Amino acid sequence: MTQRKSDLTQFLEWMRNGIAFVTTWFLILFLVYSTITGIEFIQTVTLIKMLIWIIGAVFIFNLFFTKIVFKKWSFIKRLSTFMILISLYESVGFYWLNFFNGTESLLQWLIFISIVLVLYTVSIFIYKRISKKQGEVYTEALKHYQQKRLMER
Amino acid sequence: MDIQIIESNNETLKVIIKCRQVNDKVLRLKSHIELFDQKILAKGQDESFVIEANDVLYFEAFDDRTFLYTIDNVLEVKLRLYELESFLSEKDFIRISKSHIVNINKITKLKPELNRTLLLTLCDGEQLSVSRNYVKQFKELLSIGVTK
Repeated sequence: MTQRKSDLTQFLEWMRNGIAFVTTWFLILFLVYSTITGIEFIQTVTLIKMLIWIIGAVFIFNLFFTKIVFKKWSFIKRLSTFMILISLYESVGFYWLNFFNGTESLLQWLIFISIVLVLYTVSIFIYKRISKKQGEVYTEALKHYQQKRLMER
Repeated sequence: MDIQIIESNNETLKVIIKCRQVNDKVLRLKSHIELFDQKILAKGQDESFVIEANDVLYFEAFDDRTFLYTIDNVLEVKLRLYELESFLSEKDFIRISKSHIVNINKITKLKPELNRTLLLTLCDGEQLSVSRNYVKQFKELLSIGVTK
């Protein structure tokens, strides 16, 4: 029960910190983008939409990187599921926020997301191969150490 | 505190604590002495157990309390992790995070993770993570090249 409480507390703390962090960065980036493109104001509706979108994104992140729901998931599993979901969420979110107008732009955005996901999958595949090899070396060193300790006793 | 050593041919090694009243300080002293012989006094629901250090899978600090995990039991110990750390054999037990000390002899598998932590699998199948701050120390103990 206390573990559950602790997980929930961590989740809520991460929600608070995540929303503050992402909102700040989003506004900074929007400021830079607006300065470059000459946008002089931002509509209240856009700000509200943005805030809702940020809360959703932080929620997805915390869902996979805290232990509130998926307690036993490995880091890779968490990261991969998060990447797929957040990529889709991003494309829909940016479209909703009118960053990409017209079907053509949405299609381009989806192509971009697909490229990101394919590259991510390839990276993870390479990483898995390296990690497996490294794991075997580490486990071998562990067995050697345990054997040594057994002899010392 | 007055400490006396009395030699006697007839008796096995015996430590007697004389005190006016059994309080927390005295109980902790008792736990310290027990740990000297690598045995740990631990509390279950209603009874106390003396656990061989080698039977412990890992210690966990949680909510200002310390727990000890064996294959089939979870028990509470009075000592804090840093106190346990100073008494347990540093060749058999190692700190892996702010809240865990693990028995190296109970680890069956190691796996590096993408976030630069290490995933340990214990003999009962449970998995623990060596946090980034303790990975270097852990690798050094096992003589694994840190820069590998």
